[in-house]
Amino acid sequence: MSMARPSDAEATRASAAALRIAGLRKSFGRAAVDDLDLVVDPGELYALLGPNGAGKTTTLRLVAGLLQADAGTIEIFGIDAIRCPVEAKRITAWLPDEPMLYDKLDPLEYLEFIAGLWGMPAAEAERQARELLEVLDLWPHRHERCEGFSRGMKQKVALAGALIHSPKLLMLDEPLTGLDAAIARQVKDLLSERVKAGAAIVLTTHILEVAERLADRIGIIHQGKLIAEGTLGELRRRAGSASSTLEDVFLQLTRPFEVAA
Amino acid sequence: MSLAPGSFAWLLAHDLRLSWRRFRAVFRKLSLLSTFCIILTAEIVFHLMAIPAASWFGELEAASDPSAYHAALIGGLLIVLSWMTAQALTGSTRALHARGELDIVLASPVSARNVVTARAVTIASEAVSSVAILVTPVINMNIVAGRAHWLSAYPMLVACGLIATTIGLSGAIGLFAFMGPRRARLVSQIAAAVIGGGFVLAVQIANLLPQSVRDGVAATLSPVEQGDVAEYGSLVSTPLQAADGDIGAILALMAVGLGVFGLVSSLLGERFARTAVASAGMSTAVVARSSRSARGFQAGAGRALRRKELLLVMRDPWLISQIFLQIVYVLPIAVILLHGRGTAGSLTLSVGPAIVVVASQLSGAFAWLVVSGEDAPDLLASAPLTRGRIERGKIEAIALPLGSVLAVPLIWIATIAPRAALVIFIFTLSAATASACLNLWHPVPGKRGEMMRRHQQSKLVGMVEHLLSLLFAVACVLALLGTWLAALPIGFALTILWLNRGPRHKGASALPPLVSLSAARVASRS
Repeated sequence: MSMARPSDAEATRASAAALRIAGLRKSFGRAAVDDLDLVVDPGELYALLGPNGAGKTTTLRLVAGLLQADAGTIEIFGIDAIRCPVEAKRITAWLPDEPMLYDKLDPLEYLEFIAGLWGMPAAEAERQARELLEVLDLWPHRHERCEGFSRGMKQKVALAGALIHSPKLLMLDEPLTGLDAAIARQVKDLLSERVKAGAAIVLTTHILEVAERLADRIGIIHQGKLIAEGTLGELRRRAGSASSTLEDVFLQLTRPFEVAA
Repeated sequence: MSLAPGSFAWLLAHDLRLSWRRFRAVFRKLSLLSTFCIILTAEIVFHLMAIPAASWFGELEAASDPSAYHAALIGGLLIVLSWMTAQALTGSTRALHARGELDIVLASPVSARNVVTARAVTIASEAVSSVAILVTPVINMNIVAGRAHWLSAYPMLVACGLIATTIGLSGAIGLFAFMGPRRARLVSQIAAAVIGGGFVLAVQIANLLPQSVRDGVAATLSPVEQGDVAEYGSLVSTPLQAADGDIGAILALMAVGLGVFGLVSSLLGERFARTAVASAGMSTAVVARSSRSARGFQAGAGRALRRKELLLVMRDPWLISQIFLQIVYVLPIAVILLHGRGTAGSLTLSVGPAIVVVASQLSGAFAWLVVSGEDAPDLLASAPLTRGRIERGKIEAIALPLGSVLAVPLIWIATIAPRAALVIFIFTLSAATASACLNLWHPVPGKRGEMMRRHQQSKLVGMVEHLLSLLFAVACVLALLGTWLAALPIGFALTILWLNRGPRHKGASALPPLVSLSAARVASRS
């Protein structure tokens, strides 16, 4: 399996890639991300799967500019994210699994703060904030402080924050964890809409069903390396059974590594 | 001997064990022997320090007019009682809000009354022992000096503890009933801090009162016929008789203490249990609405950063009370200095350094809040702003509240002595900047509510912060006196600051503080 390197077809695509990672390394004593290559196209929803500690979150944090890479390159819509982090961040959004909120602010104030950080014009920010809060059923709660919100509501406020500046690349770490079915559906619809509008989304998830239903392509990461990548059909073929579920594929592809480890 | 599970003694043993562990946690990972040695050394030091206080009591007692002695005793008793009440209020509030723990016990088939009484006894024992550490040395040194009747202070201490716990317990439940769980918690925390810190101020305020008022207080305490304390009325005479070693009075005090304690813990037992369970259910259900006008969005990163920091501080009354207390605790220094000299020229000399110290402390506190107490460091680190821009926004956010707090005394001094005001202003600005830089360069992640305890996490930063504020205060005094010696502490402070300069200067590969902070948080979480 030579999954770590992009194919020729992928290489031609790469010039227009939403995200292009090459030879990325990050070590915390042991390698968390190990010579990783990854290409995500505009208008694509890419799901990054992997067991706990595989390096999924570290990869996203590196792309978001929260960690400095030991080696490798990261390009976001042609911008070198390591050399020009501010330019790259302008078109990127990062949503971690723990919502990054301020308990003492209400959703409108939070969105105004984010819009301020991303330098949005006030009128445009206000229009977007209203639209997002209405879509996410948060409008009636716009003047309530986030401290009283349930986890699901907090997650929705954080998502609104990630979307308000219309990022071209969205990175979501476990975006559906802890959400009930109705909220999860709202979030999925919102994400699909953004993808249709041309944004690229990279998300990590433990819920294989989410990857199966939402993702255009799926990458399986293990011990900091990308060990398999493709559409669900391609991965099934790799696993040798067209009828197997993603769970079967995932277990089958990660098992040899675990035995070796 | 093992205690019968579910019995009062068993519940009490459980609570006392948890209480002991909370106490041990203060000493972190130190062994039992080391902890014991530290406490023993501290107690020896406290006993040595108590000798002057004990001999002062001895002199008052030996005086022909007992009114000063009686005033000192009653004053001491009031201080002990208010101090214990503060402790009991804190303990009761914690018991009411420690949801998981009390939930489990109250969900079990043991008597709620037993649970609450055991908890109340633990609160009382914590209140008594925390105060006893500092009060018993005075009692013991009096006994050593041959005044054996001071032995009666021990049962009086216990009676005080019982009465204080009764007040604290009823206070916590009362606040809960009238204000709801969230406000009750805040108000009781602030009340406890004010009651606890109040006695330090009370002593100073008493010193500042005009002589005529002090004479008046002494006169009310003067018995009509010398030596006959019964003239005071039983509320004052009983403790005085008890302090004199009167067995009847001691027993009466103990009976009152036990009586009110037993009555309240049995009457309020059910209520306390229900309140505690309610607090668990209601803590997330309360909706705080932001008081907000219908103004539209405003743009700009700097404005966004400043506004966010200001809103977060303004909406956190607990934080504001902590900041306020930080100012209040510095005031006695100014009062002592002012009182000790009393001339017009000394006004600036006493207030100047106090302002410098307050500026340094407040600036350190605000800087810690905006950098280390940042709730979403990842959000800022992922925003399209340079580290410098974010830090500048945060410093601007500190400057506004700090400036408005310090402007009042500075303007006041400027009207009296403009030149001195300018000198004080320069040192205030230097001390505040130094403190802010230190906290900016050495972020120590923590929860915002723990602002007052931030130095526990990094003792080095705490020590340097205090040292810098002291050096600038000394420099301010020397500069006000017009001596060039002021250059010495200034030079020393700048050297310390240079040695502690930010990691950014140590190498190009160093991460900016905000990013390393978010990385530190992730590391601590995993």
